[in-house]
Amino acid sequence: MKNGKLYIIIIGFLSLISSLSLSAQEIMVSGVVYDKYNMPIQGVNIIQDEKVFGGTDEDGAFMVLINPKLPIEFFMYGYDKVEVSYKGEQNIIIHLLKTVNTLEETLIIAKTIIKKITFEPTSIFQENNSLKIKTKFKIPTSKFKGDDRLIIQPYIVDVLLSDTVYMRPIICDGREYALYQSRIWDFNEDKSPLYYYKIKNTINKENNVIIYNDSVKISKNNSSNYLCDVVLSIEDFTEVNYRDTLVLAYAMLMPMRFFENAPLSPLCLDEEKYKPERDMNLFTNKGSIIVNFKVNKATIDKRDSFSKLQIEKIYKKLEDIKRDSLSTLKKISITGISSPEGNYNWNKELSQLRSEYVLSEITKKVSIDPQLVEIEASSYVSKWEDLVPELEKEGFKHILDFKNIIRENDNEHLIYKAVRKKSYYRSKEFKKALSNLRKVDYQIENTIFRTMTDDEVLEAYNNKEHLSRYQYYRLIRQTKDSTQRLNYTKEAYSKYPKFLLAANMIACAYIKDKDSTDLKILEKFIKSSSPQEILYNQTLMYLKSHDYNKAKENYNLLKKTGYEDKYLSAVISAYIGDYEKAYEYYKDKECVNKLVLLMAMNKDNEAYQLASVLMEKDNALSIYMLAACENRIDMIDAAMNSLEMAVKIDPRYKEIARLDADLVDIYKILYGKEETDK
Amino acid sequence: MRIAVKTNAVSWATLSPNIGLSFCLDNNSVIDVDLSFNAWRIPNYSFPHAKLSLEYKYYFAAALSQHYLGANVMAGMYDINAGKLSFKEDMLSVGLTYGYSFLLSPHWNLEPSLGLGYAYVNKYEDTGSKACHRAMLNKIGISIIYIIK
Repeated sequence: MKNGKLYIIIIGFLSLISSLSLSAQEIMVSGVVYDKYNMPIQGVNIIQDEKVFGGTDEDGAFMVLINPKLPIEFFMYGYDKVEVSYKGEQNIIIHLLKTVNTLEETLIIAKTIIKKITFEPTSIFQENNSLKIKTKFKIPTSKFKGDDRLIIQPYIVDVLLSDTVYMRPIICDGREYALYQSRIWDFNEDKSPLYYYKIKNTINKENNVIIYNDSVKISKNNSSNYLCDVVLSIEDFTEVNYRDTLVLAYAMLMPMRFFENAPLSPLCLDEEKYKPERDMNLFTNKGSIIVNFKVNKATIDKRDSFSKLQIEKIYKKLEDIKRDSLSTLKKISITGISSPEGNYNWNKELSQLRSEYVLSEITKKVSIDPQLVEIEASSYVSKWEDLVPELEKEGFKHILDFKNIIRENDNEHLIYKAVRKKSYYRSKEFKKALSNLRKVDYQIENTIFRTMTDDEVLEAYNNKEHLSRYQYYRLIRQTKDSTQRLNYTKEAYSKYPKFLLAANMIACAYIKDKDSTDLKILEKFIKSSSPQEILYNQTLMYLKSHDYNKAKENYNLLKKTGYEDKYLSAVISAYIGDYEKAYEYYKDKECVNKLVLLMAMNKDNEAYQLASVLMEKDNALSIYMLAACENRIDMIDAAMNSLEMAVKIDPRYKEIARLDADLVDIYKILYGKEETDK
Repeated sequence: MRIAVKTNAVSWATLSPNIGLSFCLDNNSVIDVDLSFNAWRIPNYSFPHAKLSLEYKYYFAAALSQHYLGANVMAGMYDINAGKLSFKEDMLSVGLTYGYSFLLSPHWNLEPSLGLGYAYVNKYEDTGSKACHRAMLNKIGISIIYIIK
């Protein structure tokens, strides 16, 4: 029997060897596993007959012993399983595609003893010029003892300006630490600068989570990137036991990032209502009349109705001035002018008489108070030269000859002598020209207030005269060139700081311009009684300079005047974080803004539905937003695909995703490896 | 804190009234003055003595909290007669102490302490007095401390 047993054992052993030799038919194969972008995938399981034979390394390469008769499976979570049968090749190249199905949520429960201070993953939430941080810190009780003080100091780093803003710190004192501090001579808890930052509960096994929630104001420049770091420190009476600086959050949640704020056009003031009062300036009237006096006499022919009419012209003017309340007569001066022929002295005397005659004719009809009005009668004897233009006017043929005479004789009397000898002296034209010189000039100086014409304004401006508000207004009105007009307006505004119309014109120009804002222009006009246009424009200006609280304040003033703009109200509400109110306006519209608001209100399912409707094939933004929505409702694979698509259309979205709290996890999956490689 | 008053519970166990004062010098240093006194002669158990000690304590964390090391000087007269323990002597000793102060509340502390020292002793025996030196446990205490201000 003993032998029989041994025999069985030997047979059993042999059969074991033979089974081993069967499995020895396995062969070694190697290969590489890539994704669809030919990037190697690490950690792919190589499975045969439901057993894992090996996995791929960092470079996606594998080398395994397999049974060549059975199909080989390549499997990795997140990718579609690939099954190939061995066809004799030594190097197998496999491409795995990402699974489009959503993975079922797996709950990983792990009991670990934490030794470090940990915090709930969070992102920087931007709303209305402030950055908010909300998280929970978990303090390991093994770290924190009764005589310790814990300090948590988060701070925001402006990456662009490398500026630091400290957020509210949290201080938690252990029991003994607090007791000791309360005993310190002169220590007064209420007056301690740290009083407001201390949390009342201390840390123990049941209660070792500190909830943190704070926000800081940031400058209105939206384009910067922010980081939130935190300094954690545990110290006892004498020394620091633990100190660590961690990045609390770097991804930003900016609900309003993709909000489309169509530029609103400013309102112009009603010019008729707000244009400056017409103002008037002093002007002087001048003129001359031709009066045909009898030869060598200082009277006119009574039958000469033309001359009478001429004189009448003067006193009509005077009467007009007297009637017009805006004008006052200052001076009348009459100058009698006689022609140059004959004796000079006589001519002089005659012209004096003539001017006096005219004056007497006038004063006969119009009563003039010599006390108030300066009256002057003077005389003038024309020179022969004065005759030249008159002769030219009459078409005189011998003008050159006449000019020669003037040139050759330097005395008026000699010219007269020479001319008298000429045959043309008695010609009709010559007589007519001479009689044209016999006239009476008058000058009425009255101060008349009237507005300048546009040309006069321009001339005054060019002469650098002081312009009134109204004159500036006229200048602005007549200028066609818009930059020139803006310059004039600015000049007017700088000279007249209360010139509302000009201020509003500048404001309008600024609002229309993309990059410029100036809040100061309209600021001083803002009152509850200000015109609606001003309030409206200032609201736009605040909106443009990202000062949404002020915009809201201003809009409320505007609302009180009875003006309502639902769109403007919605935009302001959205920016100050009142998403529900803004949503009222967008409720029935299908646009990006509605999607932005839905996402801001965390209505993720509705947002996802809207995003799928809004998605356009070539619009990177719409695809990007779809990716964000998909990620929010945990459609991770779909989100990955969408983000890739968006980045393909517009590579800028890659950088946006890196800092976007909505997609930062997807970004890490897709591009995290690239980044660490760099 | 500047001044605290204290009493030793171990002393009270021997029915000896005792009181001590602590003066804080700075953030870590404290000077203690302790006085213990017993004059009652109970049959079979008598513990009459008078003891005065002066101690400097250095607290490592902060005055009157947690660990400290101290140095003391003590002078005492004993006439002990309690069961097997029976002696009569005058003593002058110097020693080192260690203690730990528990913080109970804003005003109360509990402070166990132990001290070792070297003493110059003048023994009174039936045959007469005899002087000698010896190392000894010179402090056992569980002090209750009240911080006055």
